[in-house]
Amino acid sequence: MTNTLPQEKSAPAKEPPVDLARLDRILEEFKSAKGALIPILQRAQDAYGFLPRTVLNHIAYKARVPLADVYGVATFYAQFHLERRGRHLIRVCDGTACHVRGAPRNIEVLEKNLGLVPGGTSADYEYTVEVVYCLGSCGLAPVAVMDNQVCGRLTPEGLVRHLKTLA
Amino acid sequence: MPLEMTTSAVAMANIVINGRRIQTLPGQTVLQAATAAGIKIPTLCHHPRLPAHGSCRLCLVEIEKQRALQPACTFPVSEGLVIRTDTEKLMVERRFALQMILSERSHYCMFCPASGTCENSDCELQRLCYDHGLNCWEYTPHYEKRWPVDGTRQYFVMDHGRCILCRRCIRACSSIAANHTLGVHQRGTHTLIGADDDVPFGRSSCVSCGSCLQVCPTGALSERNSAFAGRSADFKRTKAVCLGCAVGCGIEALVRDNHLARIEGDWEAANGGLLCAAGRFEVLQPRPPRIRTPLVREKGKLAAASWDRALDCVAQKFRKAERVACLASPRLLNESMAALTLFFNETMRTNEVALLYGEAPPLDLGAPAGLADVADSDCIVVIGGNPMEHQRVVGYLTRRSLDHGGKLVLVHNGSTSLDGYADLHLELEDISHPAASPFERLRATYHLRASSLTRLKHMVETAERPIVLYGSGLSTTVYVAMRTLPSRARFLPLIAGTNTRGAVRLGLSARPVNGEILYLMAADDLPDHAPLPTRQFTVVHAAYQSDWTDTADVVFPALMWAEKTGHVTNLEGKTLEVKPVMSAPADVLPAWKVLLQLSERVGRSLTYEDICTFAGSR
Amino acid sequence: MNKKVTIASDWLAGCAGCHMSLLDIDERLVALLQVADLQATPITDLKQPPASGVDVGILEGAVNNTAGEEVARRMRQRCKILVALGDCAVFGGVPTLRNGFSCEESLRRAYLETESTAEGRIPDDPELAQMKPVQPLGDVVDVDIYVPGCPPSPDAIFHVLTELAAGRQPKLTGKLLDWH
Repeated sequence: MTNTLPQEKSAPAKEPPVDLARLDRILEEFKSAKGALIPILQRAQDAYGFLPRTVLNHIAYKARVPLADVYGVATFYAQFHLERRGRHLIRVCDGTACHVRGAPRNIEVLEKNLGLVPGGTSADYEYTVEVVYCLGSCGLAPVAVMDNQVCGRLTPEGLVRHLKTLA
Repeated sequence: MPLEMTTSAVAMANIVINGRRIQTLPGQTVLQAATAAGIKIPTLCHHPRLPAHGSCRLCLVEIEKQRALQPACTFPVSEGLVIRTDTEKLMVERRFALQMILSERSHYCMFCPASGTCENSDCELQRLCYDHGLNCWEYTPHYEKRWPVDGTRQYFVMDHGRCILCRRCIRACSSIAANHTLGVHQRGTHTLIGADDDVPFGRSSCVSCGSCLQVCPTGALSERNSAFAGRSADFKRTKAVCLGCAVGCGIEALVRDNHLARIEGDWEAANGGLLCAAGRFEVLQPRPPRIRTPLVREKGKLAAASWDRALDCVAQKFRKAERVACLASPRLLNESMAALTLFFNETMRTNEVALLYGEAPPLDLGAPAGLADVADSDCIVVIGGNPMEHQRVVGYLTRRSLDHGGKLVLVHNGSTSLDGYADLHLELEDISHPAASPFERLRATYHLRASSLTRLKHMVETAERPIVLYGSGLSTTVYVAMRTLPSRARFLPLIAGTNTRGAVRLGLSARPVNGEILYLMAADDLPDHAPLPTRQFTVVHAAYQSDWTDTADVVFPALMWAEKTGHVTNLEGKTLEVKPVMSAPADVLPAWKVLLQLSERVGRSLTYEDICTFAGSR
Repeated sequence: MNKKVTIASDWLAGCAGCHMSLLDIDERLVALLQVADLQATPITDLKQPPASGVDVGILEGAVNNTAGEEVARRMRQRCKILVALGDCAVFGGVPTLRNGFSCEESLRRAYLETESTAEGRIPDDPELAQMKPVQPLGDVVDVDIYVPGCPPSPDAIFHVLTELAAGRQPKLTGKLLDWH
């Protein structure tokens, strides 16, 4: 497949510069693989925390995939984030069991303490709050996962305590 | 892609459709086999010129031994298939599929430019709804959801509310134009056709070739110029030739009440339906006022005059003149080119006849390439030209060849939009005289270093179907070197000027001419270059008012391209027949007729037969 | 002699074009009136369907406010067969363009912000109908017969009414359905 743009598209003006050396190493690894767009995007997101436009443009140019397709795949899957996220990821489960055992209260606490609505990221890029549906730990309801640590039987006080331990 | 029929001993597959025994070629789809046998299956996302997609589910058919209904457009035939396309169950399924599509977005026919059905284009979704007897919506759509309308492209608009996500536009952008601008973004009910990384279409890598517009089955993509100008049945649709550049793409012109409303690509012509923004849209943009009658200047002002008066006035000047010069637009047809060459050589006894502009490189470098060969080439060399600017369809076809794994060798200085795709990029050396003025440097002569030539030759030698696209302005040594390329290399000249190749055949070229009287045959051209040096007396033969006509002494009205009858010679060297799609204003005559009349009044008559004999001899 | 079929019609958020199309059956009106009794229409003196009911009720126009809902429900109650006449009744039609905006936005634009308005005021008399998102008729009451078109052709309307008069279910196909 040919390049889709005759030169690499430049990043939007307000996007901070990105060090593409890490991305180049990833692209080099997948150089001869066919149909490797998803693994490349996953590795890129691991490296940069999210997928800035600069990274998408660079992948399109180097891997010779139309930019519209790179963007299409990146927006299709919920796992890909095109906006910068917080250093700490807080996922609150609002599935049936957690919901009846007080998840909405916990979500409210987060809104009060961090000023964040679900899906939002704080202005200092410290916290991102996500509401998810059923982590499969209903015995521990209500559950939240904070930076990959599962916190069960979470009270609003317990939630605030845990937030403080995130560093 | 239409399947090529080979006559080798390929086993036909025997299948049964609706109780009829049908023989098909293996590798065909059920839809292709049914269509060939005259059996209609409804489709929506399918298009005979695009890769099959199978997303609309309208073409579902019953195939014995299959667990579920199968899409005919993608299901391959095999020996013994038993298919039904006409059962009650399928009727129900088709109505359901249509109702599902209607429920998703804002399909309001009453204010859609594509509303109003007939066999040719307009809305295929509406056509299918009527064909299946739909008279209401089973599932009311969500009215509150607002779908974006993208009006950022200059010539056509995308209304996402009318989009059925058939992806024909994406497939056309990729496989026909090879531009790869469009894709599908997001998912579920948020799915949208997007450009690049979701930028407005008018600010994307879109080149406005209009391929997507031509294949869109609904009113999602609609052209500004012809929106609400009438339904298909109101237009007269005529096949014609685009005279925008030397490629001569096949077009279909839609005319209503002698007004040119829309241009579409002719699928059957060598360009295969592909056009460029110039031939599809720019050609319909407003022009300056039309010259409808002869004009003669008296007391410093131009005034309408009869043909008699105007011709006599010019003939008088011509009879008394020392030297008369002629500059001709390369947009003139072969007949007019022949007439003017004959008129000025024979009647006026002068050689001061030249093209207003336009260049052709040497045309004898090797075996000629056809337009249809470009996309299939496995190595294209572009030397001394910029097809993406000046012969755009050739540029798009070049990019198509890259999609098929072809290589690209670019030989030029400066930058072009093909640069990023080149496998090999070589520079030319400017060998024009160092003391040349900047103006002379515009017409600099370019030369290829020996080392570059070697690398170029190597690329061509390792290819099976190499094609060389080449322009003018290269040194003789370069052309000589190209003649030494392997014989399987084929050549397509990048000629500037619509009918320059036809003019060159008659011995015409672009050069300055001398004479105190100038006859400017401008056709429907407009001044684009530096003003012409003033003469004692100027006759301008033009379709539109311009600086040329404003300063002329006599003006003859000329035909514009859509009104002409005759022939042009395109860059392939093919003679294309030009048929009129509109009628000219009453008083406008073809250029060759005017010259014949002039020859009579000057006193050395020419006849139509003379022109034919002369043209035939070239 | 067969009893004539009784018909009542009314219009909601429509332009009355469908009723004009009905009148465009021209002299066929005479034949129609041999088999049909037009009891109430907006274009005759009697404007509301009689409380005793009619056989066929015809409604043109979309439902865009509480008054329309009332008219639609009353017609549904007072007729045996309800016909949705024209694209506005069938699909919502041109009035649904308003659905891209909230009712508040629409009222503000109409009564306060239009260029020719001075000292505008949004009417708020409690007796006035309340504006609602525009709906096709079928979303408010059960519809028996849909006659799409903008407007439906006079041929289609004549066909539907004479079929109903003959006690048959009208079927619209071909040119009767494709009104262009």
